[in-house]
Amino acid sequence: MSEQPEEVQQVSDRAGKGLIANVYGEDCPRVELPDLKDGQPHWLVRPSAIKLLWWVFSIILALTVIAQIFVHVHEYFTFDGWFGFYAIFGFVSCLGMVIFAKLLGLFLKRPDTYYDDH
Amino acid sequence: MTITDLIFPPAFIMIIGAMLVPMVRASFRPVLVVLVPMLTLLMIWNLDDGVLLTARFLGYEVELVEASNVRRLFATIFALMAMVGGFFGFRHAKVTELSAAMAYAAGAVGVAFAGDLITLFLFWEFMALFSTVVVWCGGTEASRRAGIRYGIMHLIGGIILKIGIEGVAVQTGSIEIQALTLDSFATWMILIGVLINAAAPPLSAWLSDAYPEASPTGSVVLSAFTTKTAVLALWLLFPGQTVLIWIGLYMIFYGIIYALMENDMRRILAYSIVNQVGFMVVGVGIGTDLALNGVAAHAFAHIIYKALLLMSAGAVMVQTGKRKCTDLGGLYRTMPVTAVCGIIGALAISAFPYTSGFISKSMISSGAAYEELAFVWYCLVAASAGVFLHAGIKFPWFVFFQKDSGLRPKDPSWNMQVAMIFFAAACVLLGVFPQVLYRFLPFAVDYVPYTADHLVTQLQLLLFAGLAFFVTLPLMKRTLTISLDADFFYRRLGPILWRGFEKLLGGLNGLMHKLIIDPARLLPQFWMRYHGPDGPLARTWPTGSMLMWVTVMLVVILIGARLL
Repeated sequence: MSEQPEEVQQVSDRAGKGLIANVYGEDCPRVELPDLKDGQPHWLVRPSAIKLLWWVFSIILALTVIAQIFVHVHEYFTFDGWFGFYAIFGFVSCLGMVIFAKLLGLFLKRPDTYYDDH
Repeated sequence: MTITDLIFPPAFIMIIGAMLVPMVRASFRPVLVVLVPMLTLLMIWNLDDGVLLTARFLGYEVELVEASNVRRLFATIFALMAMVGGFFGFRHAKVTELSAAMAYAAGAVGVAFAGDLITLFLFWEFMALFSTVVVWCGGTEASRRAGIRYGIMHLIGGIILKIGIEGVAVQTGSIEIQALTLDSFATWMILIGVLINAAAPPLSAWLSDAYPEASPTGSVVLSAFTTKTAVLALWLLFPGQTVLIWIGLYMIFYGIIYALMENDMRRILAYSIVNQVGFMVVGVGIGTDLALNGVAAHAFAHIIYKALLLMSAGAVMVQTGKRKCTDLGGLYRTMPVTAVCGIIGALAISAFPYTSGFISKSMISSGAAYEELAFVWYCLVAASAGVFLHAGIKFPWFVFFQKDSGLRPKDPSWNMQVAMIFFAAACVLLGVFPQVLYRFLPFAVDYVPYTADHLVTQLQLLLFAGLAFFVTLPLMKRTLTISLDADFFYRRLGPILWRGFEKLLGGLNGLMHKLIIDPARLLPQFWMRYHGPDGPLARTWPTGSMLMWVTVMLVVILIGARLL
């Protein structure tokens, strides 16, 4: 009986000034890193698995382009009828967006406490 | 059975439901949050087309309920969202939040069936009110502040909308909801008021500011209603307005670029809402039957997969207490259900074949292609690749994979899992059987999404976008940052300017003291010196000195008289 108010107090302390003391992930289990089983990490993150995934992924990529030999791609405008247009356009435009975001970040990024300190 | 004479609008069922939520026992609450939207759905689907309920208000004949295909479709997804969102959150969300969320959804259903601008406005403000409460239910100091900013933004938007509505009512005498032309100040005001709710530029920042500060349930609920009612309003009021194409394109790329810079998983998803709404705004701007069908379909599909993504993020937050990509990673090990559902949502938002996004978004880009809008079409294709980049891969990768964070959370409670699985199944179902959705679209659909051509080109586009992600992974290293946006002006520059203004006023005050008040103060001082209580001219003089002066004067007079 005497423990309960104390616990409630703790929770509301942790939640800061908030009226509703919703504290998430209090009992989230953690493990020491690196997390190894029999000296090996999870099968998905082993270098061999990652290498295999890259191979599989590359083959699928190649297949999607090769498929264009057998499938007629409808052409609305000029470039979009070219062989492998979607592959190149997708790749290049994403590259462009990532680089643009990176550059813009130089000007726009601020520490995530930026608005907290006043 | 169809309803031809209504007694009350469908939204009222949910308003009553919202009032009942705090009154019933906690154990009955999950039943209520499912039952009430179901009743609403039942009513929605029994409505005939046309104006069904009118009333007199402020001297106007207002149409409280007007049903049509597109309105029914939006109302359906709103009610469905209220149901799944409520079920997702009933164990973690506070009663206030569940109740406010249902009232908020009721507002959205009300807007969907509003037959005139006044009814639209009333439900519009109803939504603003209760969505602000939902933001506040985040329960932290940050959400309290974000809620105030959110509330102010939507009240301003509401005022602008109201100015427009009054203008239109005065100029045309009609408050009917119909396609407007942008030829007067009033219609522009309506457009701006609606666009603020759609998170259009320059005021997109309210969305990524407020939604991520709500509770895990709150952000799921918030993601669905405000922006999509705005899309419906645009759909009804401004179809084919070319300016919307450019606004939408800006929103699309704004969402992608800001999401790429972002570290907070829920803020990434918030930016991607702006991105997705951008597609819809472009579709409304194109304005052909195909594009408008695409907008309706995309809004429907989008609400499902975006809620799914936010539920997945919310589950992670509930279980780990963390929301930054820098703190997360490797969660696929112990949260398989959340991870799989999150990935399905991510594939759906990326319009991957056999998911709901594929069958809806492609209608909008085909709409651009058929209208021979080459530039718009190329932008939409690039943006589709960009969606896969910023939401399709970035979200699942940084949350469930990337590095091992050492966190080993379990999957969330059963109700959250059920809600996620339900929407994940809906994403796949709509993707595999597009006719399920197509037959309810506003215009007849002769669009075939699954052609070999479309499959091959879409897979090429998305998979090579995926390649670009992993190639540029070093460039995407997460940083503990936020990115400046328009909210900088009112959260930082505004206060700075205000303090500067205060300083300026203080300076002026000082200057005025120096130049005017202080010299003016000298005047009474001068006066006081001679005439004040101690001034030489007002002193009480001793009798001796008076006698002396009388003597002196007497002597002077005597001498004077003698001399004369």
